[in-house]
Amino acid sequence: MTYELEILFGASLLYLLILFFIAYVTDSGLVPESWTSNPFVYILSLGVYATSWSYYGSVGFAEREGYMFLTVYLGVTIAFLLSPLLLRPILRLTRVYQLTSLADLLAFRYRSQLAGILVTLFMLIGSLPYIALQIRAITTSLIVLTREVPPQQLALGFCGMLILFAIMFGARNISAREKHRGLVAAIAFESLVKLTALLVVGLFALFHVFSGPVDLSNWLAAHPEATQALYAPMREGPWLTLIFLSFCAAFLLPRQFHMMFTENLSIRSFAASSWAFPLFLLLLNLAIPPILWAGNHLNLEMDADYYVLGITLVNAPEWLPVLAYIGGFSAASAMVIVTTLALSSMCMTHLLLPASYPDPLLNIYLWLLWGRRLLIAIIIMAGFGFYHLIEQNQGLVQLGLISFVAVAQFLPGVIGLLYWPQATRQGFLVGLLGGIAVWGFALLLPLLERSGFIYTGLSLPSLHHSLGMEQWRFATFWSLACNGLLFVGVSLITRQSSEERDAARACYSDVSLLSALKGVVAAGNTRQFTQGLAEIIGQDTAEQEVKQALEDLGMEADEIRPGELRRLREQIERNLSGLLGPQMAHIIINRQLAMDSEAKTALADSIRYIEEQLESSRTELKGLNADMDTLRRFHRQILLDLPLGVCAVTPDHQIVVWNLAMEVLSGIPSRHVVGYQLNTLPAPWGNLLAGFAVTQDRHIPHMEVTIENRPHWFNLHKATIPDPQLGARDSKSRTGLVMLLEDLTDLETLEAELAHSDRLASIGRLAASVAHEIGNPVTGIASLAQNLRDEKEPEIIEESIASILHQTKRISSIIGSLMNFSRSGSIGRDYQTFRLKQTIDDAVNLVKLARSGKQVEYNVSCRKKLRLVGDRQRISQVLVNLLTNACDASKPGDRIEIIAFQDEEYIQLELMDQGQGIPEQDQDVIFEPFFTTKKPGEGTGLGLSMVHKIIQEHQGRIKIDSVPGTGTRVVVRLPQHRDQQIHETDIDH
Amino acid sequence: MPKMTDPGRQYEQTILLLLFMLFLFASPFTSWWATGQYAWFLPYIFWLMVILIAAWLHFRFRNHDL
Repeated sequence: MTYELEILFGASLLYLLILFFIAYVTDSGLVPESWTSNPFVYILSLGVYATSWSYYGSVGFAEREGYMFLTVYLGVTIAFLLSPLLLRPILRLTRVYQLTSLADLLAFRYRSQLAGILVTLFMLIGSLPYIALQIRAITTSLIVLTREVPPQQLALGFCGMLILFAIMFGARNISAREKHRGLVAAIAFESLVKLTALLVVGLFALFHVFSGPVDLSNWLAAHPEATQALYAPMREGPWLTLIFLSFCAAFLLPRQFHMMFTENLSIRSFAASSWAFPLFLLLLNLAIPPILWAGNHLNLEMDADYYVLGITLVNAPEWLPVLAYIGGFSAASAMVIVTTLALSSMCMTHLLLPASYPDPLLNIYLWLLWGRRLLIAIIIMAGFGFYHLIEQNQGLVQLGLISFVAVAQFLPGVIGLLYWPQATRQGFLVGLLGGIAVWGFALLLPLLERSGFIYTGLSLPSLHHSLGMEQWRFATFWSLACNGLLFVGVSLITRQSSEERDAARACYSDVSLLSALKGVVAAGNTRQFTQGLAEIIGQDTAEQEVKQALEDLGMEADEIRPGELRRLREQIERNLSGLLGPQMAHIIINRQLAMDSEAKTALADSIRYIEEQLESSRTELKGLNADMDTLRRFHRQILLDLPLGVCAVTPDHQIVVWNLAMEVLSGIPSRHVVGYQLNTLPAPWGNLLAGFAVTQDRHIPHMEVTIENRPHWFNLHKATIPDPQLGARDSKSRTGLVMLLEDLTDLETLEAELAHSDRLASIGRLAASVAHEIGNPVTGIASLAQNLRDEKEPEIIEESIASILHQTKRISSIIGSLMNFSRSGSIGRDYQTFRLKQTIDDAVNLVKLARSGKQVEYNVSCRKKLRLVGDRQRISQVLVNLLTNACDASKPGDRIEIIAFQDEEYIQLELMDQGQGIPEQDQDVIFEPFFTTKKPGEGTGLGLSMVHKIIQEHQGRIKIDSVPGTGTRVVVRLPQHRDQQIHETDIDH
Repeated sequence: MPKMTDPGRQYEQTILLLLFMLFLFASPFTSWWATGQYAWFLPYIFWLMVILIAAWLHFRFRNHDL
C-alpha cells in the first residue's frame, strides 16, 4: 500500500492547523485556565522529550540493541524520582532569578558571560544535528509511505510552518514571566497524539499482525531468540552509560529545560511529574517490542527504525498509516519548536546582546522580540541546512546520542551549582572546554568523517577496542572524566570573586538569600531608579521595569526606605535577567543602580528580607537548618506575643521589629512602620521612642504620655543589640536597640480605685462619729431655734443667731472635710501647691471625729506658710491613715505630735505617738498590702500600703521607728519643688 | 493517607527509592533477570513498581513549596 504525497502533506497541514487552533484558543483564554493549568497538561508537555528518535528509532534501537532502548527512559525516570533533590532546587532558582535557560543558570552561578556564551554555542552545536534528525525523520517517513523521494520544497515548507508556529506561540512577548500557555497546550496535544498513535500501532501489531496476546506468546515460544535478542545486549552493551546519559538529558537538554522549568505554571504540576512523566514514558515504550516482533513476523524489508509505519502498510485500515505518520510528525515538530525556542532565547541573551546592545532610544522590548523571532528562523533553517549536510545513513539513535553526550558535559557545572559552593568560574570553563574537546574528538569528528566532510586519518574504533570500551562508553567516560577532573582541579587552585561567592551561596542555600543585601542603594527613591536605568535601557522601558518590580513587591512608588529600595534593586535585576540574561542584568544594575560604598549596614538591616525569604522557603529547609528555623520561629513568636510592647531598631534607628503588643498600644500596624526611621512615626510615638533611643537612661519609670487626649503611663526600658556579624570594635560603635514599653495605665486606674476604696472605708469607719458630731450642733441649733420663737430681746436673738451660724459653720466644716477626703479624684497625678498646715489640720479634724472618745491630744507644729507641691488629696490620705493608726495605738490621754519643717531639699513630716509600738517581727512587712494587726472589720490592711505607694509616687521616702511599749515615730520626707515654692511664696505675700 | 510535610523525610525516602531502582536496573540483580529466561515484559513490571512507589511518595508528601 502506498500513499499519495499530497494526502500526507494535506494531513500534515491539517494537523499543524489543529495545533495552531489549540494554541490560539488557549492563548485567547477561550479554554478555561483550570484546564490548561491542570498538572496533566504540563506532564504531557514534558513528552517533548520523546522525539522521532523515540517514536521511530526505538524499534530500530530495540532491533539492534534489545532492551538497551529502555535506558533512554530509565535514566529520565531516575532524574524525575530525584525531583525533590535535583530538579526542584533548579526550578526554585529559575523562578526566583528569572533564569530561562541552562546557559542563564550557569552564567548566573559562575557570574560569567563567557560561561553563557560557551554553553550556548555548545548547545547550538549539539542540537543542530538533533533538529536535522527530526527533519530527516519526517522526510524518511514520507519516503516509506509514498515510496518516492519528496521534493526539497516540502521539507522547506514544513520548516516554514514550524518557524511560523514557534514565532506566533513561543515568541509573542519577551518577558520571562509570561508563560506560553498556548504553546504548552499544543505541545501537550502533540504528546497525546504520539502516545495514542504508538499505542494504536502497538495494539494493531498485537491483535492484527498477531491474533492477540496468546498468539504473540506462542510466536515468542516458537522464536525464543526474539526474547533473547532483547535481553542479550543488556549484559554486554553500555547499559549503565546510556542510563547515565539519559539521566543527564532529562533536564539538561534545551527543550527539557525549557518545558520543565521555563514554562512551568505551578509547583503542583511539577511535583506530580515525578511519577506521572515516567508513567507516560513507560506507556510510550510498551508498544515497542510488539511492533518489533510484528515487523519481524511480517519480514518487512525496511530499516527497523520505520517498522512503526511499515507494519501499518500491511493489511491495515487506510487511516492507520496516516495516524502513525502524524504521530511521528508530531514528535518531530514538537522537538523542533521547543528546542528552537530555547536556543533562540539563549542565543539572544548570550550571543546577540553582548555582541550588539541596542541603542537606548529604541524600544528594547521590540528589539528583543524581533531579534528572537529572527533567531528562531535562523536556527530552524540551520537545522535544515545540517539535514542536507549529514550523512544520510546515520541512524536516528546515533545523532540523538551525540546530543546526549554533549549536554552531559554540563552536569559537572550543574552539580557544582547545586552542591559545591567552592566551585569556581575558571574551573567550570576549563572543565567544560576539556569535555567539549573530548566530545568533538570522540563523536563529532567521526560523524563528520563518516559524512565525508573531513578526513582525519584517526582510527577511533581501534582506540576504543584497545581501551576495552565501545564508542558511547568511551566518549562519555573520557569527556566527563576530563571535564570533571579539570573542573575540580582548577576550582581548587583558583579563587572566587565576591560576586561569584554571593551567587554560589544563592544557588547552594536552601533559601534564596543574597549577600547583595549588604549596603545601601545610592539612589534614594524610585524616580532616581528610573533615571539611572533609562540611560541604558531607555526611558519607557525603565519606567515599565520599575513599575513592574514595585508591583511584584507590593510597594508604593513613593518608597524611600533603604531596605525596601535594596529589595527593589534586586527585583529589577531579576526581572531584567528574564529579559537580558543574568550577566547583562547584573552589569546594568551594578553600573546604573550602584551601591553607596560609604553607607554602613548591619545584620539588623537585612532582618526583614531574611525573614521573608525564610517564610517563603520554610518547607524546603532540612536537617539542622530546619531545626534552626523552628527555633527561630519559636523565639520570634515569643517576641511577637510578648505582652510588652517591643520595638527594635538598627543603628540608624530604622525599625526592624514592632510586635503585636506595640501594634495594640500604638494602633499602628507593623507593616506601616517596619523599615522606617523612628522619628517618622506619628505623634506621640516618634518623639517618645526616638527621644528614648538617644537618651542615656536605660529605664524611664512611669512616663506619662497623652494618646488621643487621654493620659497613659509607661515604664520604658532599653538594651543595646550588638551585631554578631561585626567585629568587637564595630559592634560597639554601631549597635541596634531594643526598647520595651510596659503599659501601666490599667494598673494606674486600679490603684486609683483602690485608694478611693480605702478612703471610703475610712469614711465608713467615721460614719457613726460623724453622725454624732453633726448631731450635737443640730440639737443645739434646734434648741436655739425653739427659744427664738418666744424670744423678744433683740440682743438675745442676735446672740442666738450667731450661735446658730457658728454651729452651722461647724457642720459645714465637718462635711467639707469629709467631702474633700472622699471625692473619687482623678487617675494619676493631680499636682498642685497647697498649704501643708491646713491639710494636717483637716486630717486631724477628721481623725478627731472618729476618735473623740479617746481624748487623745494632738499637737501640730507646722509653719502656716509651709507649702508642698503634690497631690493634696493623696497627701491628706497619707495623713489620715497615719493619724488613724497612731490614734488606734494610743491610750486615752496620750499625745500625738505632728511636726513638719523643711530643710535644704525636702519637707519632713514626723508623727510621734506614745502608743504600744509595732512588734519587731511586723516592722518588715508593715507596708505589705492586706497586712493588719487589727481585728477583722476594723482595718482593711491597705492603709500603710497606700501610704507607701503615695509617698513613692511623690518621689519621697517613709521610715518607721518603733519601740514596742514606748511609741512609734513615722518620718516622711517629700522633695520640695523649689521653683514653685518660691513662686507660691511670692504670691502669698 | 496522612499528609507529611517534613522535607527531610521526603529526601530520605526519595534516596531509598533511588537505591531500589538502582538495585533493579543497575546491580548484579539486573544481570540475573537479564538472562532472558523470564517474561519479556519483566523490565516493564519493575519499571511500573518504581513508578507506583514514586506516586505513593508524591501523595504522601504533598510539598508544594519551593
